[in-house]
Amino acid sequence: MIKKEKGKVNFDLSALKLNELIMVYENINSFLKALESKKIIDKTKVNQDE
Amino acid sequence: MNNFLEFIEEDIKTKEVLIANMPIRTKTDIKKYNAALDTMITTYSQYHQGVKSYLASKLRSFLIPKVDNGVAKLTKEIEELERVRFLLNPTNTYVEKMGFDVLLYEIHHYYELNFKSLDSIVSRFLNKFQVAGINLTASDFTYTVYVNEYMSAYLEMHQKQNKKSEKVDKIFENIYWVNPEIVEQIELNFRKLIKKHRRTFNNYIVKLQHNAKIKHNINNYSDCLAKLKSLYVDLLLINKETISDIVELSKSGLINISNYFEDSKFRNLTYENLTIDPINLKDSNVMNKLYDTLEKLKTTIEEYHSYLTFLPLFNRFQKEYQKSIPSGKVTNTKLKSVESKINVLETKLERLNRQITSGRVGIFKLSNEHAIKQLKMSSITMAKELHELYKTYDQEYFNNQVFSYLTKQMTVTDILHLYYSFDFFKKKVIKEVYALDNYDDITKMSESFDLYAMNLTNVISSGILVFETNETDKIIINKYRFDNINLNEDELQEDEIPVLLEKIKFLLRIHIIETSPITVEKIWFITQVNKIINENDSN
Repeated sequence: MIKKEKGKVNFDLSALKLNELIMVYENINSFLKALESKKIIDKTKVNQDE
Repeated sequence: MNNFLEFIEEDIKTKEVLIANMPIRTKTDIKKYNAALDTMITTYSQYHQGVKSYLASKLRSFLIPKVDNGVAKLTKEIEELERVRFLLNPTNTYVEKMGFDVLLYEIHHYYELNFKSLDSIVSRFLNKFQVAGINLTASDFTYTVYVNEYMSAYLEMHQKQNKKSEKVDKIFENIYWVNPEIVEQIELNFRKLIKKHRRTFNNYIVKLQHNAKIKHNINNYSDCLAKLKSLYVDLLLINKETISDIVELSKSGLINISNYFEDSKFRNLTYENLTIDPINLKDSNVMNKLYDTLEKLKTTIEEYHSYLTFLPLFNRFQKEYQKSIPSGKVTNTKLKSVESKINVLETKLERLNRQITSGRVGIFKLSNEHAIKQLKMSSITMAKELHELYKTYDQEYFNNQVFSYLTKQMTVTDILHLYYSFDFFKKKVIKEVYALDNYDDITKMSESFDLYAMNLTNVISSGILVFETNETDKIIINKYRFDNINLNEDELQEDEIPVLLEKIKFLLRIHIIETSPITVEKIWFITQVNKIINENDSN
């Protein structure tokens, strides 16, 4: 069950099967890695810093 | 939306679409784009942390405390009783019981096997004399004048408890350039002293045997074997893989737990491969019978594997002694003959050494340095001759032991016992048969041989006649055919046995998992979470 409280998602992990728990973790992990890789470095800022 | 998994899957999809459609043409676009990503990263980092903590707490709830099954205690008892067995062994003598044969092997192969420290070997020899109450002094080391010179310096250093003495090293180096056989001569000197103090060592051993019998409440060697056999049987029963072992094997990646799931193709194929007629995997009676048989098969195959490992040694024994199988009682006169030659030559050498030390031959004083040098050279030659004679003596000594056992009905168990009783000859034959030139490898092989030889639960080894053609593989195949086990000769080849053993262990593990409080799913989960934790730790 998922509850929304003031824009925050609370979730009940105990409802998931063991393999689903691992899948959740892997999905979150991969997405986090993807987000990090998608970030665009501000080249002008980098040049200024240099 | 039913659960968090679905929520995450959908949320990720939505966010991916959102990211893909965000403009990134201008600096402001990029700023907004990165800010959106940062918000997502913050949210998902919280999810990440929350899920990770939940996984860790779930993992803890699944862990099974390791139960002490008594293996360590039983192993200790066996080790202690093995020492008693070694002491009471009626086959060998005080030389082996004192461990002199081990040291003689080391010093005998000092150069050949590149031993690093002569000091350590000599020191261990001296200690063995000391524990029996014999304190050796420089006057005991007179095999040659060179031995005397080296050992006098060595003992002086030993008395002063200097661990390392440059003086002793220097003396050794000086001697070595005139007399490279110095180590051989030290060996011969120890051999002579071991013989000389036979009575003291025997008394010492008798005392040790007496104390051991009282301590372990046994009357004789047979008693000791009976007690040990019962302990080995107990060990066999309790020393099995546990569910904790399986969890550890899975965590460390040594087994692939996915293969253990009920619907695994690998699992079903292994059942099919190892059985002749199809079995009903749901019938508990059938399955229990199968697992009992597999336990026995595992023990048989492990013993057969040990047998195959040492088959070249058994074949060598067969080749060497087949022609000597006696029709009646045989006495080995060669041993006495070589022993007598050694005694005569050692007496001559003693006389020669006295002449060198006193500088006199009878009533005549030796006129010059040259004459003494000649005598010294003669003593080296004589010692060399004696070293060769001792090699013959060793071989005849072992032959003598073999001949007292030698019959057409000799089994592998008899040979195991013989070589187990005579470490020097066991290492000698291992070195030759396996062409080993490294002492660590020889020792490793020798220890593995001893483990095989000492195991009183061996079954097939006592049925294999050394001097007959054996078809042990066929016997094993046919024996287990009665129990619906499907084996073939290829699987029983030495190189293939580990594969077969893994198959057997695999099915036995299924049984352990099924009778444990944990499921395959949980072991899989533990393994995955463990991997996650380790990955996070290493990042």
